[in-house]
Amino acid sequence: MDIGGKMQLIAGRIFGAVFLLISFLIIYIYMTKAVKGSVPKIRKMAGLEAIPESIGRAAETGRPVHYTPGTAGFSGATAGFAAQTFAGLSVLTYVSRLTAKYKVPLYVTLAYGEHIPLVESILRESYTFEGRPEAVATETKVLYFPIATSNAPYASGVLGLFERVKPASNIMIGPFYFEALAIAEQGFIEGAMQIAGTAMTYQIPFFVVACDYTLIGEEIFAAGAVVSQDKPLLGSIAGQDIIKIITILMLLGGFILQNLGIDFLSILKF
Amino acid sequence: MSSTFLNKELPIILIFVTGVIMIVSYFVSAPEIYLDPLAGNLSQAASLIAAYATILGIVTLAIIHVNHIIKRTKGQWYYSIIVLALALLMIVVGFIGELGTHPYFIWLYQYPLIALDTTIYSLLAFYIVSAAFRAFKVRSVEALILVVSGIFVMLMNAPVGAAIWSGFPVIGNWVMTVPNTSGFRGFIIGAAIGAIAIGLRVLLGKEKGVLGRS
Repeated sequence: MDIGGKMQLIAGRIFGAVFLLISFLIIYIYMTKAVKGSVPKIRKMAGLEAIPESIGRAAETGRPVHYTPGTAGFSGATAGFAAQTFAGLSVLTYVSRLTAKYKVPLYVTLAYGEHIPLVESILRESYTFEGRPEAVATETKVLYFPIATSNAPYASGVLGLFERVKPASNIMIGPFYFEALAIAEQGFIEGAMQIAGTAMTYQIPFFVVACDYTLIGEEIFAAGAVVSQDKPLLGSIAGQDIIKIITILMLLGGFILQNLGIDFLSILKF
Repeated sequence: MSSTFLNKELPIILIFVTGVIMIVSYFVSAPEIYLDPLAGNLSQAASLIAAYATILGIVTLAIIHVNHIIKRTKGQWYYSIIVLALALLMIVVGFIGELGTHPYFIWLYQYPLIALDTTIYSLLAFYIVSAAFRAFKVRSVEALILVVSGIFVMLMNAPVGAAIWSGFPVIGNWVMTVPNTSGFRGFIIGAAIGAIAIGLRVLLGKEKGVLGRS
């Protein structure tokens, strides 16, 4: 479809483009409304509520906290899951402020080099915010276990770390592959209180089984907003709900129209 | 230029411009105004930055392990020697002749590395057993449904299931295609909408973690 000038909408992606634009618009409207004072009330998430408790437990036992924002990079084959990594980094801001406040050692393990500067910067800012910038060097460790042919080097690095430092709290929020179960089970063996979250469909059952609390799918994208209590971010969650309602209505409408012999699917493929 | 602009505003501008170009290039074709090559170049630039970041990561890793060796960290320093020696070996052998094609490099890659990878992966079997043991304890109605569904799906996949009763594959297949698939789809729709929301927050510079801010 020609949209003027020298640009053409790619056939088969037009509906997607329209849906994305509408979604952006709705989320933006709700973010603006929240800034103006109409802040939505977000339900409590047990997983997020448990984070201070788990860090408090680490402080009591004198054992460290382990955090990972997942095993997907910002480019290459795993770039499609970068949104989950962003969610993981947002929760790290909250976790690191708590570890700074309670003076608990924090280990952050990473599988991709491009996460290192971001994580180091978050830790610096968090510890500075809590008035203890000097503690970044002594109380936090950013460990990089590079992924090679598979995620096994990262998994083995974290398993070894767990065996050595025996964390009291293990928080994993982001995209994960097979290492999800290996790390979560090792955390269980070490007696860590575990909070995990991912939107990787095949790893969620493992987290549900092995961890004390699990953030499922879209909850990880809302987590950063909930812990920050930032008004525009909270507004974006309300916008998400409106899009969900539209999607459910489309599903129902599509079901009815399709059964009435009207080809609704062809609109989606437009 | 002020440091506030360089540290706070410029990264948000860069994220917004590159993000918009990448999104538009997915939906719009405009070769005459170089949109497609521009998007391709930006994608390659991201890969290059990631490659440089990997070098940064390896340097960080080396510093950590050298420190362990110098300080003789208890229970760690001898492992650090092994890590550094093997990493150095792979790098040196990789550069012999044409990059990454020397028979020694291929041997190091195929035999020790792949075998170690597979060993770690195979540990999953034990972890799955211990996790399943806990998951299949029937303490509630939901846990009972999980166990019964699991039994049907297992017997659907095991040839012995159909030999015992022809209904096992039928019920197992129904569990997988109806409740399981509908649950999966609902989950994926919710996660996709969440990803759209976080995408907009990143584009607008509202997601602090992405910028390394707390």
